[in-house]
Amino acid sequence: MNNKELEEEDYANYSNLLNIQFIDYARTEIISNDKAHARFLDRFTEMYGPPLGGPDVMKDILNGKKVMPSSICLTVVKEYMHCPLIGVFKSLIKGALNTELIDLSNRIVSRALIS
Amino acid sequence: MTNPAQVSERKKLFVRAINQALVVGKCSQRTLCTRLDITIGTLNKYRREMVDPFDVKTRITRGLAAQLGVTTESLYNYFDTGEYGDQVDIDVVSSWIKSESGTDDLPKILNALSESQSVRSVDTAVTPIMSSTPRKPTAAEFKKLGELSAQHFEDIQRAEVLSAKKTWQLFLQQENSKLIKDEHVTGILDVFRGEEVFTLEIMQDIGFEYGRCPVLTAFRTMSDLPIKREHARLVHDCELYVAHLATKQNIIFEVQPVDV
Repeated sequence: MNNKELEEEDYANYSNLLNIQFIDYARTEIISNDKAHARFLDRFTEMYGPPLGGPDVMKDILNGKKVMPSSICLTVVKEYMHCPLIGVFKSLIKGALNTELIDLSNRIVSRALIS
Repeated sequence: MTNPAQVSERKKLFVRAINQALVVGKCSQRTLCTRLDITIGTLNKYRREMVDPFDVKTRITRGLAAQLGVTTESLYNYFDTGEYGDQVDIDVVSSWIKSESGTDDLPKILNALSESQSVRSVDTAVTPIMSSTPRKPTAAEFKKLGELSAQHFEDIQRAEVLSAKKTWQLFLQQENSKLIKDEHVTGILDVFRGEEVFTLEIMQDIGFEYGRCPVLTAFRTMSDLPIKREHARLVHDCELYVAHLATKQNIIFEVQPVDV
């Protein structure tokens, strides 16, 4: 199963779950999505440096306006052996992340690493 | 014999008179109950058109008339005809003067005329409120109301020296807030975060569900911070319109008193 290539639908589902997690984070912190993004970007830069593709692309993905480009996903996963967005969420949020998101992230990482 | 259609019409007019009393008196349903010395259950029966106003105790009708600033006779007339007006009209008075009055009555008549001039200004101030349909606030006004509510939420944070999270917890801990459904809680939170534009539909949805604006109620119980004038004015205008929509659908919506 894990040998199956990643499809556009996988990226779309993943982006959707990232958006849900992001909105959940902003609501938990009682801040606007813009403020949440600023905090997210600060933490991302601190941990991984500037995001590949630029902060605007990352913002659009988190806000659910854009599907994560496969090229960016494959490149960063191969570089860090995990998805940096999940790493940032884990450092920002106390407690568990959305299990559906973690499951899909794990599937995407395992497939990306053998592609 | 009592005509059922007339009774039904009287019940409707009774509900309208109660709603007018709430607006004119700028009071909540509970306050009106206290003023009329009735229970909230009784008021609800009246507002559900379950009671003919002619079967209501005189004490209550007198209290309602006083609340509306009209005479009891005038209120009974309203239940009968839909118009506030005493059965003694100008024709009756002039006819009596022509046929029965003497010179001894003249000072009394003139004195009554003089007094009526000062009372008239009060009567005319009340009438337009009672007879007019409230203005429908614009989408921009509803949006502004949402923004001012978000601002008031932030102001409470500062006034109570609390973080946003603690203030939100405080909001949710209010007795009234505990009744709010999750979907509405999320909607309110998104308005406070500036991520949701407040609309008439949202206010109507929430207002009809809880019979009043739960946000304003929570603001009042969680902090003594007064609501700013512009905010109060928008609350008043928007609540009046929602109450009007509620009345048309026979739903109870409590207009909360604010200083406008």
